[in-house]
Amino acid sequence: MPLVDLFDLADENARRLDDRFRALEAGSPPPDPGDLRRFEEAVTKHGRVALNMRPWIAAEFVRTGKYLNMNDAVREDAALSGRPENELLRERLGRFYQKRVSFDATFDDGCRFQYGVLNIGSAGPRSYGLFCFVLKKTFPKAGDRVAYLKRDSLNGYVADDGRVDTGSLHGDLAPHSHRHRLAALKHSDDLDTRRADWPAMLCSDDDYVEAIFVADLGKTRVSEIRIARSDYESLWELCFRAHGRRLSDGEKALAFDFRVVLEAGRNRVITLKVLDDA
Amino acid sequence: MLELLAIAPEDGWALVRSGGRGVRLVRPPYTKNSAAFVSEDSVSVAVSKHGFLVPGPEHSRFSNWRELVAYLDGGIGAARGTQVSGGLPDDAGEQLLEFAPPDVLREFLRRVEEELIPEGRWDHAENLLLKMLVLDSVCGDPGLRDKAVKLLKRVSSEKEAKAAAWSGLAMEGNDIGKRFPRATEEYGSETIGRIAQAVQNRGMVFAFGS
Repeated sequence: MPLVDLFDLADENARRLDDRFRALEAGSPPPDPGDLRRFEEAVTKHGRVALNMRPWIAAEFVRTGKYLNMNDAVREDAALSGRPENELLRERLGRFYQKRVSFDATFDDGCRFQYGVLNIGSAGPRSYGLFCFVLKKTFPKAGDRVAYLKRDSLNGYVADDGRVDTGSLHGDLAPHSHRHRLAALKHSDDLDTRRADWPAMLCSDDDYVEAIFVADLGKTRVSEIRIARSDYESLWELCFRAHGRRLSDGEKALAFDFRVVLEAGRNRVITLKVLDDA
Repeated sequence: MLELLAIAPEDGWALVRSGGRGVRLVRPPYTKNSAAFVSEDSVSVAVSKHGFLVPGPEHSRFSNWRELVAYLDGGIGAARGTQVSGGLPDDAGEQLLEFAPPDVLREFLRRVEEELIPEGRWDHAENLLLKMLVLDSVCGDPGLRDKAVKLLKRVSSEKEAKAAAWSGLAMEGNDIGKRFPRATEEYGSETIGRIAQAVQNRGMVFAFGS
């Protein structure tokens, strides 16, 4: 079966998103047009692709400028260990192997896909990483490819046996030019919340618009690292405690990685921005 | 019984099923309240996109949190071993201090004043204050510097006062019987005087680490 180009699918869906948006505006009862417009504006103005990273990954990225997706990491492990890539991938993914591999195999360049979220000002899905790396507004540049998906790709569109629901997926994709439209269609019923809550509504641990992209990521592509205030304070708590007692390995590791991030901030490589908890 | 569903060994993070009460994210610093509940779907996302690993069957079940935390914490050094030369520095937490912004330093001084000194944790207070006083960010900020110096003097004087109190107790052998009649009757004034002298010498009641 010929491979599908995810990004072409997203481009093809642009007109359909416009039609659905017009139908939404004309629907009964129509959503508040002011809210819809303001939400679209917020996404257009503040919407960035962001990636949440665990402390170790964040520090490695800051130190080396390298961000590896799953397949890159397995390739490196295979080169170091001499073990076959597929065996390592099975071992890492366990029961999720079939879903991951089927999704990747459905699309052109699927093994090169990187995954982020559309973020308009939150600290992102923190369950996967304290540090939210926000890409610059200039992303995507020429040569980058990006598509936005209404829900998480694997949990939303791939069955446990690996079947990919390309029909549903096609309808829920947007190109970069239409990311605001996809977000507005997704949240049209939720816009009566306070505007200050929109960033957390669009992007939380359990629900987000996924950004799938192929691009060379380096430190220069990052505009800032966001961190929730509660996480930031717990990192400084380590420093306070360390002067009175010995830290555990987990605490030392966390402090070590935080130091790398702070050092990058001091050297003006990347700005660290602390956000009040949602 | 705790079931380890996914682990990020370099960070000591884990997704864990705890009895029938859903999935929790466990991560350092490991405290009772830090294991937040997350959705079931988080496991597949963490493994498929965020580099968590599915553990082998030999490391998937733990009888209690203490055992799980020991496993997670104990594995971090090894997971990073080849990449962090010389292992994790013991003073990793203290090293953060030189990067602390003024608001964090101010908060530390407040806690020295309101927590450490009243609780008699003078060594902790002294260690922190001495390190702060060599930072450019503190030396260059008269407000921070003066406050740190003031607190350091207070720590020294309170330590001295406490030591003097113990010293007085050690010296006033003849009065011990009056002050602690039951203990004197049980152990004798000479023994109690020796204990008081030992406490004065080490600066704390219990001989931790000795």
